[in-house]
Amino acid sequence: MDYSALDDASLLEMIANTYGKLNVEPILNGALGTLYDRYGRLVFSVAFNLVGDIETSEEITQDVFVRTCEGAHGYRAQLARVSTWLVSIARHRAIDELRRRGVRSEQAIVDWVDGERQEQRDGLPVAEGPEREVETTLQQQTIQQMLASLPADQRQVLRLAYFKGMSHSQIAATLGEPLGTVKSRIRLAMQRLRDALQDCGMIEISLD
Amino acid sequence: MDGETGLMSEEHVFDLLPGYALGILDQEELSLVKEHLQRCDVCRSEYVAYAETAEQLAIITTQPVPAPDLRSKVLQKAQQAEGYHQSRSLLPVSEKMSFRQVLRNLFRQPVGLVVGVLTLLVILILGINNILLRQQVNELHAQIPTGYMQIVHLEGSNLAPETSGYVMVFRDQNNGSLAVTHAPLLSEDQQYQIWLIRDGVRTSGGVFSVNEDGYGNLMVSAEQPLDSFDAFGITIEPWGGSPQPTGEKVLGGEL
Repeated sequence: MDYSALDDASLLEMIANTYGKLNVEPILNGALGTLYDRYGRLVFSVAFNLVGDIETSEEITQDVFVRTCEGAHGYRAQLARVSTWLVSIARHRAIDELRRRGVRSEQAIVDWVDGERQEQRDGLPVAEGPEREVETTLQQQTIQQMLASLPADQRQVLRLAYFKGMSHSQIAATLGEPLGTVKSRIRLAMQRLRDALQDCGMIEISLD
Repeated sequence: MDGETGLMSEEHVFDLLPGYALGILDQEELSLVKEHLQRCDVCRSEYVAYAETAEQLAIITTQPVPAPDLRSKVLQKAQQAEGYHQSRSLLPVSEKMSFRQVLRNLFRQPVGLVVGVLTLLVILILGINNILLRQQVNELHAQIPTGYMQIVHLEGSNLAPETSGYVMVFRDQNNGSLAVTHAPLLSEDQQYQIWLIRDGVRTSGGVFSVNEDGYGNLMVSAEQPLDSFDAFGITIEPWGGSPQPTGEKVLGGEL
């Protein structure tokens, strides 16, 4: 069976129907493996950008896909894309890990790439392969421009939230700013990005 | 507090949604948002837009390539998680202890001695039966090939030492997945061809090209299961492939 021909929602449905059942491992492996082929690197990257080490990022990636299996029954395609769901699970799991450790990761990554800085980090090769197509590059440039257009203070708090996984109160303590100010800046930054992405058609406009 | 929570629910949790999408809420806020999203379509829709925004931000981060064996680790962990659930004991420890106590008490009572002996006899018979069943299971296991999937790593020859790749082989399956990286770029009239080798006989498994980064993949197909072959080799051949290898080996690996 050619699992790669199936869309994400169909793969998840297949996972939901086979996970935990006997004698259907080939189907589960086929569906889960295909989902990993599509998003494994994205999930790994989300984790790596937060925790900063390969071993933990691999563990998180494994956990994310196990959680995906466990939660496949509850997935509703009309609510969110599978990739959005996976990224969300990965971020929450990675931030849980940071909080469990009780110390902040000291990884070098503290900002988004600017398109030119595709360099080696910690011995890992960075993006390459078929993903680096023209459409993706244009998409990346658009998002980079949106980020660049944010006021410096909004970008600063967003960076701490995104790469360090800091809570509102942690950011407020780090920057010596009032909690309300930090919450407001993060909200405004995300609103501006969301609106700009919707204007460009890069994310869906809610009809509700 | 319930009153406040109820008020927040009626007024929605818009202000917390960006933080929820970024995963940075503290526990109290997190519980509030999760609970609210269960029953509020408006906030759920807003949240999805923020979650998609967070996803877009992931696209412009450094994206390291995970190790090739992470895929098999993911699949293995999913299987282990299932195994855990299936093998979990159904009885809590305290109940097991009380069962032992029941047995002990049985032997202490004169009236229960006969019942106790009979019980031991039944346990003995069940134990022997269990050993026989276990032997049967082991025999059946021995007949089943281990491992549903196998990753065959391909190493670059002297011709292309930087090149590496792997073939994902499934048990008794005639198809598998091939991926190579850092392969030399070929001229327009050439392609890579994978050879499936058994007892020295080479059968073509398909041809493929690589992109400008040297990355290429292929669904390898054969008339026999891929795990019945001894080794895989990749050569450079004229466009469309050759009936038998004509170029030097670029990559190879044994099952």
